[in-house]
Amino acid sequence: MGSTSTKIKLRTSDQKVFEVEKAVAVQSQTIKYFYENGSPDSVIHVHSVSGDILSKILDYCKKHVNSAAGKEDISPEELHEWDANFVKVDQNTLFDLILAANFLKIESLLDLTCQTVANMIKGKRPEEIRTTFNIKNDYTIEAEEAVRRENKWAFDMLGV
Amino acid sequence: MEDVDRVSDLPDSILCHILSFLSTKDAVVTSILSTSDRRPKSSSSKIFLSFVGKMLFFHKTNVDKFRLKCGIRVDCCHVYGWILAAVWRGVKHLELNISYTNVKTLPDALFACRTLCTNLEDVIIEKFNMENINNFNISHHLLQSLTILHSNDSSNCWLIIDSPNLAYFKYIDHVVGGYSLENLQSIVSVDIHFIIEDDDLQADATALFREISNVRSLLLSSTSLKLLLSCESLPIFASMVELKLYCEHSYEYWEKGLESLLTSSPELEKLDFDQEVLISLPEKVPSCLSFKLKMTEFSNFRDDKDCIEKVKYILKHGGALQKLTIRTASYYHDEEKMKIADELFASPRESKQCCILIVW
Repeated sequence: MGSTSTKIKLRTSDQKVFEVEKAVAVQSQTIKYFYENGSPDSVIHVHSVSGDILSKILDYCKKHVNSAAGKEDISPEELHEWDANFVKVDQNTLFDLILAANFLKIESLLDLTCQTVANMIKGKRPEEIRTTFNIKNDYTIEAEEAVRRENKWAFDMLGV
Repeated sequence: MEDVDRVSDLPDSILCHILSFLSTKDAVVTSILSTSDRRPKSSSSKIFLSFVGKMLFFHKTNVDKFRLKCGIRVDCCHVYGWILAAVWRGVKHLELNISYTNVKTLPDALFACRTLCTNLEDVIIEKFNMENINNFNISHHLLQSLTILHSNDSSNCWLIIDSPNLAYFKYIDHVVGGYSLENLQSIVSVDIHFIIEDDDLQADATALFREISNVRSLLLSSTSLKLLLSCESLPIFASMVELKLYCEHSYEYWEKGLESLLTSSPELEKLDFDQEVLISLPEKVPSCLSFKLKMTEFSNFRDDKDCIEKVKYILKHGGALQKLTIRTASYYHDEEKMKIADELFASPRESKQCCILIVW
């Protein structure tokens, strides 16, 4: 059996089993580690990732593997575009992707998703960021005023 | 589900990773989103946040000097945070001692830092990893002093320097892929020590030497001298008044030496050299020796015939010589000292005011 057709079995937190081409699966440093250090036929349990999220992540890995291997004729710009569409998801999915990319150690996907969150913060005022991410403002009005007063110079310069 | 605060539940390392994509301004904004009881908990994160927090908010004075030294176990995002904080507080002296293993790139904000870039006078780059870098460009109109030491993997990299105010340049490094130096009209003092392995002297540093030929004071290692003398055409050092040459290993079996450089240094007044780099005594006396050279230090002296001839040559032709200092390479008994001194002092001198000092 050639290495190209080698499959790796993955089981998710909701007990779904995926059979994945090795080249795609080892985009995850975590899976690569388990594969290289376990028996080849065993099922790798990605216990903190759900089936829905893993399915999306495998799409991402496949796209990038195929593009890098030249199996798919796609320009860097088109891949960039594809990435941009890939992260157009609701916030819960986005944060699930971040946590999964972190657990699976897929550096490019972690960068992509974290950058997406950073873009949602960029240029916004504190109230807007709180609204965007449902962050509870636990400053009392007096405390926030005090912080702002004490650091007036910084906020003035920043226009915050 | 949508009204759950997912950001605040992220692990510290991911929060820092997100912060690293933000500008200083946006990072400041995030620090007042909520009180800090839900801030990263690990000790280094605590230091990071309290540090950044203090820098950004609680000290009203500017940060003038900032030194950061950290090992490979510190997350890149922390390093970013610290650097950004320093940039934000108007740092003027910045010293970073960080590892390529965890910090692959530096934040863009550093290179746009107003307080650094509008006053940039002195840059020191040591053990910099040049792997995957095609062009290493250090060009700045105010830069006065540049030191580059011991780069890694620089063999394919071009070094680009365009700095019209650069006065001092120290370079201790391997020969890189190529040199592009421009506008070094203000150069005063240069110290070059090429590190050459496996006796590979095929490297070409012509472009570098040509561009520093305005220099007043030049310090060269013997391998640098050899590379200089292997240049396609030897540059004329028309302004050079001071030259120092030292040997890092034996200069034996080399065809050309100091004598060739002397013919290209018409204004030379002060010369310190290891006698090994003087290979032969030219029939046509270099004009700097006849008319300009005032002070000479002749080191690594031995009492063999060749060496004594070199001293005699300098005394015989040094028309402006005021002082010749001779430093000996080994121990001599008093009797031997007398014999050597007698011979050298009796040697004919062109300059009547020349004194000889022997340092045993």
